[in-house]
Amino acid sequence: MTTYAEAALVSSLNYLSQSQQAIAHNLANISSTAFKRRQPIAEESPSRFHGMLREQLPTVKYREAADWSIGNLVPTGERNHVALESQDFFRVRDGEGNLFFTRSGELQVDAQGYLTDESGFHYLDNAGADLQVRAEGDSSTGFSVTPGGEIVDADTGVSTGRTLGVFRVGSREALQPAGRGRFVDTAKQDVVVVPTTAIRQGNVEASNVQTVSEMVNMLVVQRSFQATATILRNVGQLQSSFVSALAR
Amino acid sequence: MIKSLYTTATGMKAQQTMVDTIANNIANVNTAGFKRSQVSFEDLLYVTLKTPGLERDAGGVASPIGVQIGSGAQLSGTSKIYTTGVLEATNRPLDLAIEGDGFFQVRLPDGGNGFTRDGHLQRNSEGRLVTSGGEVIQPEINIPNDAIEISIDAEGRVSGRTAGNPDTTATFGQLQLARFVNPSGLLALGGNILRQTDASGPPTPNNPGSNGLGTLKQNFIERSNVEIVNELVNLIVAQRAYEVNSRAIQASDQMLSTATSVIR
Repeated sequence: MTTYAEAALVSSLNYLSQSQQAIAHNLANISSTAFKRRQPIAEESPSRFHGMLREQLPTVKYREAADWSIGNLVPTGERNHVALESQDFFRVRDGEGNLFFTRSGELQVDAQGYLTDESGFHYLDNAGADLQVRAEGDSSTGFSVTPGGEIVDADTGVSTGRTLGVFRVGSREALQPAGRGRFVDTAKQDVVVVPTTAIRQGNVEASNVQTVSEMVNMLVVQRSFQATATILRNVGQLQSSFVSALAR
Repeated sequence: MIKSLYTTATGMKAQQTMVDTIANNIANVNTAGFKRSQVSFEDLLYVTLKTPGLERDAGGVASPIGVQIGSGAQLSGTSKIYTTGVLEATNRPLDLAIEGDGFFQVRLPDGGNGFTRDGHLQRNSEGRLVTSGGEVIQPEINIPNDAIEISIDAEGRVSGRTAGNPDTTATFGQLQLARFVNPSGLLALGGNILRQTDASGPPTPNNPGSNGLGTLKQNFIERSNVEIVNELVNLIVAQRAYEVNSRAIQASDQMLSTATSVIR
């Protein structure tokens, strides 16, 4: 027989071990470009325990959200690195036409002259088309990106007439992480192109994981886990002494 | 928690790769024409337990956030940083530094073309210009055995005087440089040699100083672009991150043992 106390404590242990998983994931991504830390959220879930009286009693449920604060912009001096100082996103498209949001700006130029990320996904321009920074076969040295996203030929200083697109969605909470610094919009919200002056060439956005706060969170989780486990054990002992007292 | 052990292990592995790359950079601090590598990391795939917006509570309100468990970090790529290194005067006529963009093109032993920025050139027994590894510079340049003075100008013209005819300057050949759409896509073969790939695109060879290519500087050698101070700072960062991840493993392990001790 499971008592309510046991059900509540077990749900709490589940919550804590999932929190530990999220903290482990954050710590593993201390050096990942533009990583957004995952934040565990405890939520009261009303309908998980049905006792003998069909009463609904609260247990704890685990939820997770992204912490969207901007990571430090680390200057690298590298022409192919761009970072966003605003809360918006770049968009990339894979070979099958799927669209992703990303804040990571480690740009590559592929052999066809398209601007890609490290998996070869194409960055989009401000019209939502794949951004080609130079024609195929043309091998000019490189390009500069103005704070507004305009792509300028680094040799001549002439604008190529193309602009790196910066996008905004209504609710970022609906963005689901897809790994590799990318997010998918599960809610299929409308996306707007925002005029911006927040693009910083020669910078990379670091992960927004703060080592100290993660260590503190880990400590809290660890101690809570110990405490909860101790109470769970005591509840079990209480029950067994009940049973033995009645059986006598 | 078993999962979090593996998650942190991916983090430690990522930091290990970072230390390996830094070690390679530091080891090549005096390698002519060496370009430092930089690693970047990305988050690994997520397991979606609950999709945001799908689950509804008792009142029919969709939950705004879901549950997605991440599984750590992985290496997303190492890229070479092609900034020009410091040029150092050597006063050796066959030392060439490239000021700006471009690579020397060499013939590899397997018949393919290799590319290098190491301009510490030599003459082989047939009088051809070769790299210190012996690969022949393309297009081939033959310098007569009795050459007494070799001069290479910024546009790559190799000329000089010979002992047989000391009163006139003769042109021995024309050096060319090659450049790529995406030099980060070149494959490093070691021995300062790079090779073209589909990612780098084909080389476009031309005379130095034309088409955006850099110019040549005789009597100079391009040093490595590794900056030791930056590398050491990166080393400290990587080491601390490694430590933090190992602490997370300890914590997960302790939680596991706490869970086991519930049953006595």
